[in-house]
Amino acid sequence: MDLGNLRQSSQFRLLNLLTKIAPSDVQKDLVIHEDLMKPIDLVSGARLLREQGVDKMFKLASVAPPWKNYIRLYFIPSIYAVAENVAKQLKRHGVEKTVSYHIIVVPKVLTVIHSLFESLGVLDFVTLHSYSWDFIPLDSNLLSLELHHLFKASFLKEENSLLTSVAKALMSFECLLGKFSCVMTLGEKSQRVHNLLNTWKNEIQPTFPVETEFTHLIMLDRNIDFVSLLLTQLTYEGVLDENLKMKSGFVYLDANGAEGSQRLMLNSASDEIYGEIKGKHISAVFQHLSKKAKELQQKRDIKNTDSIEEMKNFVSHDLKRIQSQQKSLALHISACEIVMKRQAGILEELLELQEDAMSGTKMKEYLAFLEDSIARQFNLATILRLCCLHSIMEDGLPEKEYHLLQRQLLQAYGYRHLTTLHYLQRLGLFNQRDSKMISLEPLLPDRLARVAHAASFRPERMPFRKICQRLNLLPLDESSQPNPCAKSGQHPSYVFGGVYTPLVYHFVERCLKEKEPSLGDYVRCFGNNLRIGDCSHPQWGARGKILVCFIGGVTLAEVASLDLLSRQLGRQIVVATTSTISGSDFMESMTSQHTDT
Amino acid sequence: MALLTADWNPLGREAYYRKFEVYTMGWIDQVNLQDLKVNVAPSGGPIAVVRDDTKLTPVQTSGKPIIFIFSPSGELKSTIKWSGGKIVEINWSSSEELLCIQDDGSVSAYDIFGNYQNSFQMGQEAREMKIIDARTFSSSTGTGLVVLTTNFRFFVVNNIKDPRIRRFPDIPGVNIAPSCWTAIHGDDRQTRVIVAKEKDIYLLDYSEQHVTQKIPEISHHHLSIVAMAVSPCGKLVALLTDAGVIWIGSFDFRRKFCEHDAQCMLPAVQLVWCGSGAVVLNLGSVLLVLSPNRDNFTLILDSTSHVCPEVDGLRIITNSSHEFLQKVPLPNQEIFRIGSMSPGAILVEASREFQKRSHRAEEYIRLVKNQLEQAVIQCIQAAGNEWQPGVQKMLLRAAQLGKSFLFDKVDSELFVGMCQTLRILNAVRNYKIALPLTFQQYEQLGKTGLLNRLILRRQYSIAIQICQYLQMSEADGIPRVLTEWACYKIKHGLGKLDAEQLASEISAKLGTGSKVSYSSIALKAIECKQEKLAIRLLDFEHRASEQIPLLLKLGQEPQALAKAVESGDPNLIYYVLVVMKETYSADKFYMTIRHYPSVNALYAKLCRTIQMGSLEQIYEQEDNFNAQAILSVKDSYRAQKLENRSAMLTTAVKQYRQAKAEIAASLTEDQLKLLKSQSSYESKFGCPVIDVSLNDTLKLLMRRRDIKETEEMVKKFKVPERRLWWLKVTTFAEIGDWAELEKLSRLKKSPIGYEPFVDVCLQYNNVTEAQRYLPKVEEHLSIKYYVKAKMYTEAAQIAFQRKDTEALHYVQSRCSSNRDAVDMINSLIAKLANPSESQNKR
Repeated sequence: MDLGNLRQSSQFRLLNLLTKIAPSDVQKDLVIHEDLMKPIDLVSGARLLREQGVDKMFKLASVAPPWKNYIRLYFIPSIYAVAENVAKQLKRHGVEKTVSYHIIVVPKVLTVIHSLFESLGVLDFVTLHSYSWDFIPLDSNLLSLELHHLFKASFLKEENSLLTSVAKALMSFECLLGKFSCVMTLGEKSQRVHNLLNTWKNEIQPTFPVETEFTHLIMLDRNIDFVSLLLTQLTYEGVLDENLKMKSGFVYLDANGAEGSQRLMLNSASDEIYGEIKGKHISAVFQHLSKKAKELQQKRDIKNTDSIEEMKNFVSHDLKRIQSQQKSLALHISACEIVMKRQAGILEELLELQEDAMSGTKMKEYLAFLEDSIARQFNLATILRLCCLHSIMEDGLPEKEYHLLQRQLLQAYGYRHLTTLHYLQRLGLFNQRDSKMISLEPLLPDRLARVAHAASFRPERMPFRKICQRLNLLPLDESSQPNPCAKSGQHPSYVFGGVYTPLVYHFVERCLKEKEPSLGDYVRCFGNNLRIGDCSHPQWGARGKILVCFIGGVTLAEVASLDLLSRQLGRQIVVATTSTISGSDFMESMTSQHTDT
Repeated sequence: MALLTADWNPLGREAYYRKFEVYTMGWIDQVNLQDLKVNVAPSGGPIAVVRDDTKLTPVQTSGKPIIFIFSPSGELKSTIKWSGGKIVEINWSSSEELLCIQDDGSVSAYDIFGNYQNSFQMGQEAREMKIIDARTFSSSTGTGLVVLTTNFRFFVVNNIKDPRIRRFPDIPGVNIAPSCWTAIHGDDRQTRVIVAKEKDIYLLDYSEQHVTQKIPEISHHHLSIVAMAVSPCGKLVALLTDAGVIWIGSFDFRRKFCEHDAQCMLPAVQLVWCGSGAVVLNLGSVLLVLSPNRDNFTLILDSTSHVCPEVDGLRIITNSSHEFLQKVPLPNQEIFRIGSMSPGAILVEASREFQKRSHRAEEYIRLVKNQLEQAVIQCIQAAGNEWQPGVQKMLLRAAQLGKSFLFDKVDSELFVGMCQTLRILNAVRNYKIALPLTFQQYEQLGKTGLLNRLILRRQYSIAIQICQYLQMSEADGIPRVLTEWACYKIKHGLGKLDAEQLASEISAKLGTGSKVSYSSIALKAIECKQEKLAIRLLDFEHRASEQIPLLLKLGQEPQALAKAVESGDPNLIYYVLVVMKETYSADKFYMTIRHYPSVNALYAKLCRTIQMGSLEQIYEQEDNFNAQAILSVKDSYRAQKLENRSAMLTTAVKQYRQAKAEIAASLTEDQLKLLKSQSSYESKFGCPVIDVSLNDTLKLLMRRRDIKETEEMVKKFKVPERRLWWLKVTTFAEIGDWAELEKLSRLKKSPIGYEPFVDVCLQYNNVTEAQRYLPKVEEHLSIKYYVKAKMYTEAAQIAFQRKDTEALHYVQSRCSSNRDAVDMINSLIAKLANPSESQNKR
């Protein structure tokens, strides 16, 4: 399998688009939106862009950059506000006959954007283009579309225009790497994507490679398992993501991510050490790193005493490797340091609380702690995570507690967060017990439709704790003693410190059971949200590769658990996602004030 | 062999011309060309005839002329009963449309079956001045048309599909009618007119708007030029004088190639080129063929004829037959010329012997062994140029024989391609289909061109067979033919069949899920005002992006919306919404979209982003108070003035109440209260307070030591005791008011314990103050807090008293840098260990 093909296909299309706009020997300027810089860098790299005649590159700002050439490109995401900003900028700038503007919208030019440009009357000298990349390989087992605004659009606002891009990406995946013969979807959005995929296949009838390596496609919605999002991730990569915010496979070691600050590329293909530690429990990482440091030191020392011939060999081959390892080792150690500093003191308390929430014990102390931390105005995102976790596990809070928490939160963090609480309620994350159906769907207008909706999609939503018990996702229940495997990485719950097995691990494992997937429990838990493809297909039992696709984002802890599963089964599992997501990321996007972009 | 060269006429030394019969005309004994004006469409096209009103004939019908359209084999296809004005000229366009040019400058186009297609005008001046003559020419973009008005001005249209009229410069000299003229379209995409006025010749160039006079050198005496023709290659020109002399020269009239007295005194019928190698003068039933080298021969025909130039020859239409005159192509000449020793000829001979099973075949092959490749290619090419399938077969057999000696040296594509092409050509040459294309014409026309011709003739069946045979791509192959068929079906099923019947008939033939574009068929149905049929047909279209615009065009908005939702493409949904918003009344609009939750969400987004309609309206329509309230709250943040903001929040409270969301209502009320207080503080303190949280407001008050106001706020917002203590502790420490902190600690037993007191003191590095509260720390935390305060000795002492070795180790681990403390703890641990030992001993 060559996931690099995906990158090449995206790259090919991008370069094609650029040459279509103007041949590569014509110099052009490029303005690029911040969110797209990293993905574009991963897709093509600056050098290739320069080969296509891109001369100056600017970051999109509120004013036009100092132009140099006559062909000017904009690279923007399909966000109305951004497009509006660009359109107004161009209108102010006015028409020059010799200048042509091209606006490339990722993933596609929506009608609203087109009509916006039309209404501002700039289409005479502006051409709009659509560009969408395929899944971008971030790591050897992780593909991402880097569509960070998809979660909010699809799950919060029920606005599904971005799902077409997911379906499109899946189709080109199939075109490049073969057709999936077995498809399972869990969740309404996944099902929608699958339907789109089928519709297009019928419409376009593309040709697929004869040999397929990937036989199974398993799709899940993010809202099926919010607990994995809310719990603190304890794998090394998860911790880095939560604390330093991974952006398209990079983390910046300086908190502000300023230009020229140290950055760490999280890709196990290019960084051997990272590959070794990324899935490890954080407590084991530092040990490993120090062991590694000693090893490196030894290697150098031993080599120093060898003959000239070997010395030459060493310098030309091994030294480089050792040096690069040394460099990355230093980076990882400093990353560890930063993370440790940040979490000092809080982490243990937090883990204990999470354990309580998952097991449903010591509820009084739990609430008292929440109240205290609200009074002390701890980090809002952390508090909200704990609140939501509690609400989910208890299937909503009792009226009194719910009101109390709401009042406290708003008084401490400002009444602005009333909308935040609304959002969380709408997502089913922070609710009052038994009051769900009334307030859940403010956007579904028609009572009839609502009833129909309720009847078809949630014939009685099962409380999450019940789901956990039925699927056996809470290892703590089995024995009151903390699981000995929790930290060693033998049991998938290690990614959350032994308190919870990610649902996706369990689901994928069940799907891949010999011959026929045994999903009876899932049918009982999720009803209509689960769709299983044609079971009679001869490929069901085949031991091909598996693509697990997340709609709405995946946490790195879940990726690590799937990695474990892949090792246990001896089959390769690749995770594709609309974006990577972490609990802190998620809560910050919920609390941010610019929710309408 | 002798037979094949029987109809060859030598012209000069090198060239031979041959004439062969294409069809025996079906119109034999019914048509007399003498009385008719004939026009033949190029590339084997149909023939249009109309009574020539310059000639006297017995009148059979009333004055209005009838145009007859015949197939190339003389089968009557259709008649057009002309009811318009006087026809100046009828002519075919390159896409086989019959152009009828009237004297008022209007041009109407008809298809082969006499159906009216469209019309256009040649402009104001042409209409007023009337037209006396017109010529078509083939241009780079299609067919062009030049007309001559009564005031001797030329107007040109370069492409009749896109008629843009341009005027040529005036002809200089005396204002008399030109004696003859012609229009040419060169490779430089410029149209020029050559016009002869008596003896003078002018070249009119409209792009440069200038006129050049050309003076050909004609030695015979003459008064005027009566006919002229430009060769297909555009390099040669032929003139005919009133004295019956033909002059051939270069296009710029500077060089003369020959001058030949044809001795034709009667007005010549036609002067045309046959290919670029010879000029043909049609004298009715006699053709004079003349080369630029003045070699010539005459052909006698059995009746009056009409000739029509083609790229590679000349079609001759007579009362009884349709013949083709062409220069014998070089490969054929090489092979069949008497006594030819060319490789091709020998290979053909070898093949002949081979058929006879004679050993001489081998000898012949050996003779051309070195040129076998050339021989094979010659044979293949020659086969293409032959009309008789028998001869084609013979040549192909020869090629095949030669090929078998060459193994893979010769490209088999050439042979296979030729076989395929000939098969198709022979099929379409059949007199029923009557498309007499030569190989060269077919090459020029191309596969798609051929299909177009077949579709124009409604030969759908053979078109599909050809598509299958050639395995043509989907874009221009079978689906296209089927689509055209369906369009024809619709057009001609009008009034005969009802929509339902037609639709099912069409879908039965076309099938579903194929690549056929139902939308283009539906578009045709719309053109024919068959809306019902169109709607029915669109059901079969599986590409939503094609289907939806048409449904909208048909006014089927609900259906379009349903399809758009089904397709899942938000762009399409937007598109439908925008159209619906424009055409529907507001009520109807909301009533329609409410059935689709996903559409609602999209519309909501549309409203949010571009305020196309207001969101409130939807929510009001739906009595969705909760959503209205959220909207009001959001709007309140956009308001600049405080009063507006409060007003909006008050509305929100009301809406929350309506939605029975009591908590949210009371929370929003709290917010209003807070805003009110904050605004008063803002004016009082002169610093921005609005929009900070309640906690921060309280802190602000405490920082200002405004105890009374603090108490009031606490009461107003029912701040719980624990939180108030937390706030106080942190704030006092922050402003360094240690006295106040101590006062607080003494006030009563702290509900939050005394650990926070220690914490805040340590946070501001005030160890002395911290010591004050350390004893009050809860027992199980005390060691930890002493350590936190870096009072290791005290911590160790407590641990010692509790006999807790583990705690001692903990303390030690935290103070590893402090030697004394470590030693001290070591001794304590030892002490702790010893008594126990001694106890054990006892």
